[in-house]
Amino acid sequence: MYRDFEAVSGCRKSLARGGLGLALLLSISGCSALNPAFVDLLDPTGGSASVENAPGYVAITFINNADVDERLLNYLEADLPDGGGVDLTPYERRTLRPRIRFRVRVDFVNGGVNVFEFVDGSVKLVDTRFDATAEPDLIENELTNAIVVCDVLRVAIEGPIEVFMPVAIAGYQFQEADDNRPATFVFTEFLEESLRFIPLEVDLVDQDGNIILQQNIGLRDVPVPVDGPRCGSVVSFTVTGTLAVPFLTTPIFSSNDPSVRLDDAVALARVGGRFAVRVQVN
Amino acid sequence: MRRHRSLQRFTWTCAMGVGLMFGCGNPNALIFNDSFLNYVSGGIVPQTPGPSAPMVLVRCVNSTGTSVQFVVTAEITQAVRDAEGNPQFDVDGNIVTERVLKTVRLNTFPFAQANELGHVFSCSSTAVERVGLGENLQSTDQGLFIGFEVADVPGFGVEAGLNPLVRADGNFECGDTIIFRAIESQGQPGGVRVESFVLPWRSQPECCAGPDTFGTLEAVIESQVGENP
Repeated sequence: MYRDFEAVSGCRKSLARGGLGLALLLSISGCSALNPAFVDLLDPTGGSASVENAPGYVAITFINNADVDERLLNYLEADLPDGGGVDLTPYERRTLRPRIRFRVRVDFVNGGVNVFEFVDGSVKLVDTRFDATAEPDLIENELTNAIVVCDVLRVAIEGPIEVFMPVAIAGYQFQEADDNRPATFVFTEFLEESLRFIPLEVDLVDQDGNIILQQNIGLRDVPVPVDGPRCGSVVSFTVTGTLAVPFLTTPIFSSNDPSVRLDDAVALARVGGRFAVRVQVN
Repeated sequence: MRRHRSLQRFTWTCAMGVGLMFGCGNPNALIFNDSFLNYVSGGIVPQTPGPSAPMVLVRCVNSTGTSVQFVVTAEITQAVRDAEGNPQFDVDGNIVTERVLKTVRLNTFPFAQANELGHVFSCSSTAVERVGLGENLQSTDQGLFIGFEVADVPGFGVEAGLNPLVRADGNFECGDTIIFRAIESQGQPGGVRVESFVLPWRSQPECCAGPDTFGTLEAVIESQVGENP
């Protein structure tokens, strides 16, 4: 009996040592030895370094399906100085998209955060009198997809969605008639929204949900965050709508250039056009 | 003898349990989470776009202690189109092509998970010929921008010192994953060095029990109306 106990006790010790050794080996090697997905990565420099596989990805993409108002496009394509002097081929005209950008914030389950900017749209869509290099995001290459590693807690648009306003918009003030001249509109200034990225504003509503002021995005069309997307899924932000600018037309005055009355709050609020954002997880 | 076997079984079970509890050394791993299973054994979600999704995934990994922006450029061959958008043909009937560079800037941060960001370049109607760091794919280009998010420090650009990967040389093919990793390295400009790797789609297991990330992404991208001129 004594001998048997000794034998089992010794065996138990050696097995325990072996088990601990195996556990240690597993934790040190990062399971590489057991993992068929841990294929050796080819190092083109001839080295032997490797990178562990990602746990999986969540793809985030921006689909720009917005278009440009026909009157604005006609103005942009008209020769200088009456238009924007933009020369588009029929193919470019068919596939034209306004330049849109927005920031995406990705929160990870471990508390990490990454923020990046999506930008997409036609770089030729700008009044040729404007120096495009003054707006770097207009000439930057586009970024329309980003791949992040799992696990993702939340994906959301951070800050406003912005669209590039490709023309200068003239602001006019109404001048009452007096003894010397009839009533007219006087050019006062170019709007500060001219020739730069402008934020798209959401409609203003009262506490009952009635629209007080219609702006660029309807209340039901705002982007919503995505919480806890499954590893391997695709989150897409699709922007639809039309980039548009006002053209001042009244019985006593009309302009062929983009223009607006400075005291017309409704027209001012809709500078930029009307858009909708759809968020999908596939 | 029977006791010996049951002890052996017990020890193995304990060892595997310990391995799983500690996520096999991976701090990101969670027990039986899809991500963990994919990390351990693969086959849940794809690591590469693969043959079903014509794209090249570029994965940038920041293994430094600071923020790093990767300036990733792909040289792409695309058809030359006329004003109507029709592809042009030469006298032999071949499609005339041109090579263009496409650059994206991927921001990474020194925290787990946020230290990685990737981008896919499509090779459905185009071909990805070369992929590297820097706007002109030269080894002397500023391929990295270090410390860009720190408010008081403007950051600085450093040379990647890396030759681009070339498809024609067999470095990669459509469907593969290319990895650029920045690591701290004394004696290098900015204290950072870059390594590149390729994960060939052919080396991957049959995919996938979970969502087909890149196949779905391809379908979503195809839903875009028109093309960028």
